[in-house]
Amino acid sequence: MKFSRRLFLEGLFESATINIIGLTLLFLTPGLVISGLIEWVSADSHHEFSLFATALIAAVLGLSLRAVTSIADDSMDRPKAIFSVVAWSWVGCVLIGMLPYLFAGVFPWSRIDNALFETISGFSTTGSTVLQDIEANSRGILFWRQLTQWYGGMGIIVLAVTVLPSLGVGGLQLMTAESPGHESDKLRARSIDTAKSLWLVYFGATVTISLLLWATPNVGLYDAVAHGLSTVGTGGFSTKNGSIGSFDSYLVELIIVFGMFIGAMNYNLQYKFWKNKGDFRGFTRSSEWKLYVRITLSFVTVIFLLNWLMDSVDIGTAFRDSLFNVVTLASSTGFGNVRPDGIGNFVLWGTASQLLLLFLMTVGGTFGSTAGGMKIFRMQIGFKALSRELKLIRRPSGEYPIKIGAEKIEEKVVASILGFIALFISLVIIGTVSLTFFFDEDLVTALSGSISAMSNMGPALGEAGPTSNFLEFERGSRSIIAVLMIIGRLEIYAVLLMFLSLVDRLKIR
Amino acid sequence: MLFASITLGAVSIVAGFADYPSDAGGRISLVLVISGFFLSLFALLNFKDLKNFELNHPSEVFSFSFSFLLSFIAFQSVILIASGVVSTVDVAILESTSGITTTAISTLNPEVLPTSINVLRSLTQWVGGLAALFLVFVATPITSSGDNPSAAYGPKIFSRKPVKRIQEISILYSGLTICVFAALNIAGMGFFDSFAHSLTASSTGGFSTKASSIASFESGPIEWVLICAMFLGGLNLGIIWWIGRRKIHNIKSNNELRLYLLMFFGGAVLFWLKGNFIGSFSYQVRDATFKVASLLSTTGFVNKDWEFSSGISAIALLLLAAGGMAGSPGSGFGVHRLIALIKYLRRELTRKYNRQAIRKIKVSGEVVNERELDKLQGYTAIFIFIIAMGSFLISLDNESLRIEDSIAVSLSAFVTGGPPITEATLATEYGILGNFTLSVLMLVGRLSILPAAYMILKLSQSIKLNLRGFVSSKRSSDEIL
Repeated sequence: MKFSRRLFLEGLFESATINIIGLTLLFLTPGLVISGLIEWVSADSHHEFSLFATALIAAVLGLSLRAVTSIADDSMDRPKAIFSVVAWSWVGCVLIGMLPYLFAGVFPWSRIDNALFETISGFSTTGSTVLQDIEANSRGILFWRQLTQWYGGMGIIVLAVTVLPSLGVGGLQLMTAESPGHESDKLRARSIDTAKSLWLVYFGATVTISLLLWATPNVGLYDAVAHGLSTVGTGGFSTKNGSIGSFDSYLVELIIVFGMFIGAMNYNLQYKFWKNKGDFRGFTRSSEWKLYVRITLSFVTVIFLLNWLMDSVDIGTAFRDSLFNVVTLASSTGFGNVRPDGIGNFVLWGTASQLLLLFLMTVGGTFGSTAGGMKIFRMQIGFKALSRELKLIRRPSGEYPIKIGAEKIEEKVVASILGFIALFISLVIIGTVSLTFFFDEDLVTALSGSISAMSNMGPALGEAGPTSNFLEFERGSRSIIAVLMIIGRLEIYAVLLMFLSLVDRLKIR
Repeated sequence: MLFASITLGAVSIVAGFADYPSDAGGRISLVLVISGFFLSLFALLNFKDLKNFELNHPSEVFSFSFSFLLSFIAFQSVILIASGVVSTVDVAILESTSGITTTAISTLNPEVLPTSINVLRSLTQWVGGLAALFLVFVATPITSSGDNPSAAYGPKIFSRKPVKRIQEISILYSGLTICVFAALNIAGMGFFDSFAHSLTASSTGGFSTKASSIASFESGPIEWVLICAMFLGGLNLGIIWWIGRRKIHNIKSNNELRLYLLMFFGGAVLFWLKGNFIGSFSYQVRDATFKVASLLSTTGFVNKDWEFSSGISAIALLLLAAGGMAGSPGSGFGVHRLIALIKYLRRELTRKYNRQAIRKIKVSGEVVNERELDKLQGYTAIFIFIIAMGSFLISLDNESLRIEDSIAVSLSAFVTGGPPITEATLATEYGILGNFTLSVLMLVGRLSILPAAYMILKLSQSIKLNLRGFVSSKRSSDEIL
């Protein structure tokens, strides 16, 4: 017993890592119980056993792991310990999260890879699906599916405030960088308290969107909450086969647009907005937020004009589709608004509009939000670094620090961010080449599919459009896309270094 | 402007006399000779300005390169319009830019063009290739290596004195061209075609005298000769110089060469594996190698069945984007930057894991300084941004283009390659926006991003200032009235 514990627990992982994995599993338990209860009261089907059983497994495993391990005060000081915690907790969630699908028979055990894909897509808030007939599944299972995205969004907030600062690629110090002179209003220094404050905003936003959706004539309470969860988590899973297009309602689309838009906004700024009783100055002081709004509005305008003037779509439809699809892709949510009559599919738009969408997919939302992608903050730094290079050609000895708002960004942070951008691009290229070379996917599907997965978007262009199902892809292609989803969600470094850390520990043993 | 006048003047006179006074090109030849004469005269009259010519600062080097290219394009465009070969300004600019930047994008059918114009096109590309080499080996070292980390070793390979270095490079480049000419002639290509193709192969230009490029010859030996020529064209000229001087030990430690060779031969194997080529084994190998050589060296010659299957389309675009080695007439991202980028990313990962890790990054034996590495990240991002922007503008111009075609055409123009990766886009014509976009992409690609961006900003600032001056002077004259 002692030998096996040493080999399998402390042999590969640090004690603190295992302890936090246990804690994360405990967090999943309420979600599984709620989904089980929904399934229990649902008249259509009875898969509550699968959900309650998973809840029990998560609780027992979580408590056991916490009981046999402990967190030392200094155990989280080293980067590799932080990488291990984040990445392995995530792996633990995915492994437990896929059990309801398997227990309920949504996917047979022989297709465990599909269950894995669906769960990864959920926790990474991507929204790509391998379910062929979504509406044929039971309410509890679908609710759990929506909840995985909500949990994923919650997780990324923790990642932003606790882990990324140690990597120097953005985090709390960047989130607060644009609010100088408001020391008393600054978020509390301790990251866990910060995370709690942000979760409060996250929860509030979810309730607001769910209530707004419920107030519309087309949406029932179940669908309202289900879509509220995946909207605020910028996930994109829906309980309907045709996603948001199934409701065929302009009002529902506008509420979802609003939800996606705030979902991709820095939660720190949103927290301040509520704390200062609606003081909007926090937003207007943030150059990243202003750029996010500008990019969204200008892309809506340009794509609307392109669709209206070049593709001869009527003005109302052109505006509706442009607004919805730009926001869904800018926020990396990935809902579709293809109506029952087939209108609204962006894969059928002109090449110029689709290229703009591809760019939006890459950029993603703002820092400190649940959105994926490269993030506007990093793009800002990238462009400022380039503009500095031009100034340096003229005056090679000049000093040109990079500033965001009034805050000067440290050189090592700038270098890290530029490295991140290059790494992001490299991974997209590797994904594209792998998908084309090994699985003969066409270039557009492979490129947009890789970008979509890395940005946790969901739909892409070509064969991976908003009406497509990822079951049409080969198993190998899906594996590549799933790996990219994980790498993208955990901001690249955590995943890559998790494996290095594991190799390191294996070497030591 | 003076340098552009001298070179284009000489090129025009040679091209004009190439088939003068034949019936087919009589008028055109005359236009070329007269234009060449006037340009040369202009250069001679202003020759005294050369005494004061100096390049000491990066901004001066960039200004010189930019104004040389712009003047050359402007003069050649006027010649092309005056000769009646093209009728619109945008097409004239596209053809001229494509020539001097050694790109192979053209809307003209070379088989219906007179010999003089084909000579002009070939010679222009040859001059463009030589200018690119001067830029790397002579001008760039002045800029303390600019954004080209390995160009700093230019003076270490050739002579330290710039004038002697220019002579050595010119001799080597001309010698290579002569060798290619002789080999093509022996392989069965006619005298004129060998002459034209040797000029465009050694410069990695890609213009051909045939409408369907190299495919029209349907000859194995010709394709093999051109494969070798394109391979050499993508090599750093310094490597060839070292081989000639038997300094093999210098080459052994060159990691840039190793990656170039890996990409060339590895690419050929991947193409052969997934390219769906048909025919005998030797034919398939030749076909795969030709395509890789044309893409990697950014030459742009096209052989038979210029169509890429889904399996190799991404690799084809990557090879095209990578381009040749630093110190070759080819363009693209550059193998040297690729090495620096790979090493930088590896170091970034190591540093996240082990903060104490210290590792210097070397390319071709030269340590790349940290400033250049920071610049490289920005360069990579902007490289992709420019291609994306180009694709968008091209797709606005031509709605029938698919996404992959617009990306391929934009990339092709930017890396001064030429051939898109689908047959459908080989014969595509563009409107004013498309032609203008392609011209700008070729120009920026040839000059390299940072110098081009710097010069464009400088140009726009001076235009703004001039306009302000014009408006204020008009206002004051109105007030007097």
